[in-house]
Amino acid sequence: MTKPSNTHKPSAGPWASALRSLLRNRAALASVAVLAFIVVASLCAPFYARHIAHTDPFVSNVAGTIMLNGQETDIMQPNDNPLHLGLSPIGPTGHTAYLLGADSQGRDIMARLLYGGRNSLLISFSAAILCLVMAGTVGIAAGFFGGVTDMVLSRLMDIMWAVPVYLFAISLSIVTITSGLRIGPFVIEADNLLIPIVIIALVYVPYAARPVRGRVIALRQAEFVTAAKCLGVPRWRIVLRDILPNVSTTLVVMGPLLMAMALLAESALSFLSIGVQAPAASWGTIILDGEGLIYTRPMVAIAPGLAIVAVVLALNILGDGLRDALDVRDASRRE
Amino acid sequence: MIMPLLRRLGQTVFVLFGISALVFAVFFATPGADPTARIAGRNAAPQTMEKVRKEYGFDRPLPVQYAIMMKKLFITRDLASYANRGELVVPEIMRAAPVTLSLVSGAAVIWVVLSIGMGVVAAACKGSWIDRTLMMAGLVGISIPVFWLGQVVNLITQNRYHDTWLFSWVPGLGYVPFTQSPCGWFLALVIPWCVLAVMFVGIYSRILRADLVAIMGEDFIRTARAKGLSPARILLRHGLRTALITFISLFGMDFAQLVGGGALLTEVVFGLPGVGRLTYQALNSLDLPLIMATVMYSAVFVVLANALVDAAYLLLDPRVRDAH
Amino acid sequence: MPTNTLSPPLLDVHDLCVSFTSRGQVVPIVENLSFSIGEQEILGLVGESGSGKSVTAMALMGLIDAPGVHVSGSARFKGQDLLGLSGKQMRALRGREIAMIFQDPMTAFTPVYTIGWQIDEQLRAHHNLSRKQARTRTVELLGEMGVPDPANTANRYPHQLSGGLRQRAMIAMALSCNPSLLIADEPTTALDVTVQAQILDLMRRLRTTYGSSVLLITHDMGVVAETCDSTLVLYSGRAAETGATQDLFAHPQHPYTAALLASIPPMNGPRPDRLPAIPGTPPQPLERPAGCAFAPRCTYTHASCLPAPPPTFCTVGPAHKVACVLPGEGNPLPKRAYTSATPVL
Repeated sequence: MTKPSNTHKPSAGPWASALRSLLRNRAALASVAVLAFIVVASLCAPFYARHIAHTDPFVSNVAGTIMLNGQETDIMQPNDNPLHLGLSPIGPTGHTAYLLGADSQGRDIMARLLYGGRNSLLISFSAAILCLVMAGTVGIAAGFFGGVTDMVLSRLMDIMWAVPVYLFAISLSIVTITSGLRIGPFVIEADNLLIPIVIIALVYVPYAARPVRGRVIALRQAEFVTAAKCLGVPRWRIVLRDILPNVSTTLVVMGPLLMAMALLAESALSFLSIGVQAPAASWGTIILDGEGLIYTRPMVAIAPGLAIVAVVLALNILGDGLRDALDVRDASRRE
Repeated sequence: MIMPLLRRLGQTVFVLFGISALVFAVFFATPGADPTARIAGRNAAPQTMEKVRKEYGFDRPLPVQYAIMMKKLFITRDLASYANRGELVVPEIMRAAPVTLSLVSGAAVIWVVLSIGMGVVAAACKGSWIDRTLMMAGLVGISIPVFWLGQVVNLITQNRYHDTWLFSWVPGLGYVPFTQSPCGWFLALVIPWCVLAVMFVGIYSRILRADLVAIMGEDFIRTARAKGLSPARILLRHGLRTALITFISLFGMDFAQLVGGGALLTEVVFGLPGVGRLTYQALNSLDLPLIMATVMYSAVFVVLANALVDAAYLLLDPRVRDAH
Repeated sequence: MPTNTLSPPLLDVHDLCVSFTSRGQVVPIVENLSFSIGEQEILGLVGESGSGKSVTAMALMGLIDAPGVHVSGSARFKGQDLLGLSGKQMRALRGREIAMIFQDPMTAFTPVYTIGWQIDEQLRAHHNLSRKQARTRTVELLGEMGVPDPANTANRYPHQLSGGLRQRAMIAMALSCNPSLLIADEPTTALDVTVQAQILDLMRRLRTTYGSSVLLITHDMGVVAETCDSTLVLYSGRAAETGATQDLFAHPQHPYTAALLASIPPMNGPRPDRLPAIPGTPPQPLERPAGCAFAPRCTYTHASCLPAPPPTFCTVGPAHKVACVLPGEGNPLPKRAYTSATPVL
């Protein structure tokens, strides 16, 4: 059934109307709020550590004590087992200091969580952006120029696609972690955040480049591009003026989804101890710290996990909302 | 029929070559330190370094190094781990493979059954609260890091609620070979299966629902309705059957990647001695030959599985069958 | 020709309205459409795209289930009101009593099953047949529809057949349960001209071999002239004119019908340099005039055309009705220089 859609007012551009439909999407708005809250909280990490929790989350504090209810309490406490053998870090205190307890080195989990959020969010955001730039370039080049360029790039993508994403990332990480990265005169140290950013961005390029390439191939055959070619418009100009704006919706929709995947990948790499390097924290490294304490102090691992789930879920919902708001076909199907 | 097969074979060989070259490049041509040091491990003795350099031909040009490496991996299969007292790598992988296969197969059964169920129900109830709930559940599943979920599940089933009737049957972490005790094998794997399947249930149910909803708007569905068929038959025999083509091709990719080591995190969390955990142990001891071998084998497996998926595609989609 | 015009018609549609709600506005697609089809009659439903032809067919088949779409009126078929039937009752009727064939045979078959499988499926949905019996009947049907080598063709997939063969298979499937009414939605539009003629020929023979009535939906006046006993012209969701094809072609009473007919190249006589075209475009459903919908494009528009309600049907001949004020005002359109409605093929 075709329903003529004359009710649309053609005045608003696609971005404006997408924004309007996104503003009507309550789930998407809620996820933006959640994301904003977590980002702001992470940005406040130094303030929290210094002025609220009064701890330094990067130095071991095994022998330290804190004041709870006027009593000086050890951070490492005897275990709950009948013989009180061994020591466990303090659990959630309910006070500003050590709100969520301590990890095996006596560091404040809440403060580390906020600092870890900075790294996790920074890495996943930068990786998503970098990946979009690389995938956009590769996809547009392959789709627009076709021929040999397309063949080489597509085969390369196929090959990268065939290696399991995490194994690919692990291989690259292990190689760079052992010795850093030395490209000509530039040396990137093994603990530089650029390493996980570049690696994660790289392994997701095939994933993001394919849809871009498909879109560009469809556009290349579109009449306005043919018209531009016939008019003798230079190719770079066609790419910039005609192709890129039309591909940008695809890229924007992929952005949050890529960032969600990058965050999961970052936490996995850090969990395997080949992502963010100690003493810096990320949500993945905190989960790794909590692995040994999972039965005694589960909060150490649970808290960063919940943070990851919250951010990834919010990003996925936002991505869905963006896709619905920007994808013309979906919009018409829904009506 | 011969030419297309040959062409497919040619492509497969090409991709295999490409992957091996890529993996080789990652490990030995990444700008940085001397690959000898990487292979020999941290703080290796000068004699070991010298031996490694000779054995792998690191004093010779890259193509020769590549050839030596491939020979060691696939022909003589005598690639040895330096970190682990000269243990041969390839047999080690072969021993670990059945564990991974057990884990992934069981999870695959769960995720295929559940995601088809969820996807079909959601598509049938499109727009209702059932649809929204199922799809939100799927989205949550996609958003949970598997290694964290594994830990939380372990906390519940192994520790906090292990002594209740609900989880008292859960055995301790680890693997029981099927040949030794089928029942023990099953019990040991049930929880890992479910945990591994969670994310894929989310992905596949959402993809299937979207495909089904799109397909239900196609002309041939209108024809099926005009024929007076029941809604269930239209959805399943016409809609689902057509949607399964994409579903199966995605499934093949993911299954292959998991068997090839993608289930690493699940294996680590549940202490299952599969290929992924082998890689993980190699990571901790920086055992480069072992890591490279696992990555290479997984890539080979993925490529071969892709060829299989293509064959399945031929069976499922008559249009592709004729395009060849 | 209808064999017996006195018996109650097979299908009697009265005041059919289809509308949908979009952004709080009710958009009328089809307004107050009434027509009837006799036993073994072929009725042509003609109109431009967007005039509501296909929607009418879908509404009769009960295939409209999009949310927000409202169907009202009545459609009596063999004593039952199609629009009031439950989903289950309608399903029993669909395919068995009323069958439908579609414009694009390319996409109308499920791509993953053979043609034969899909015809068997319909047979087995309505009759208690074994696989084997169904296949025998399928092959028989395909043969009757002029499909060469029907036994082998039944085992082929839709994409392996040419457009003409696919449409024949489609018709075979539609006729598999001997329906009393066949709704054909632009069955020839997607086909080559020669194949078109063959398919139309096949449809004309249906009523004698299968005793089916046909509702033929098309935008092609030529197809109507060749095939239909009577014709219903739709304009912008409203009926403009209806009558026996011969009468209507010989003496169109609605300016729209006349303009449509004038835009067909003449078969004999001098070729005009330019065919007369109707200026403007049909109104969108929401911008439909309150009075006659064709008024903005009509050369005869005058004051009485404009106010609501739109002109109602007035009888201008035996079974010939027109929704235009002209005949009632005593100014009927002149007769057309048209010799016969018989096809010139």
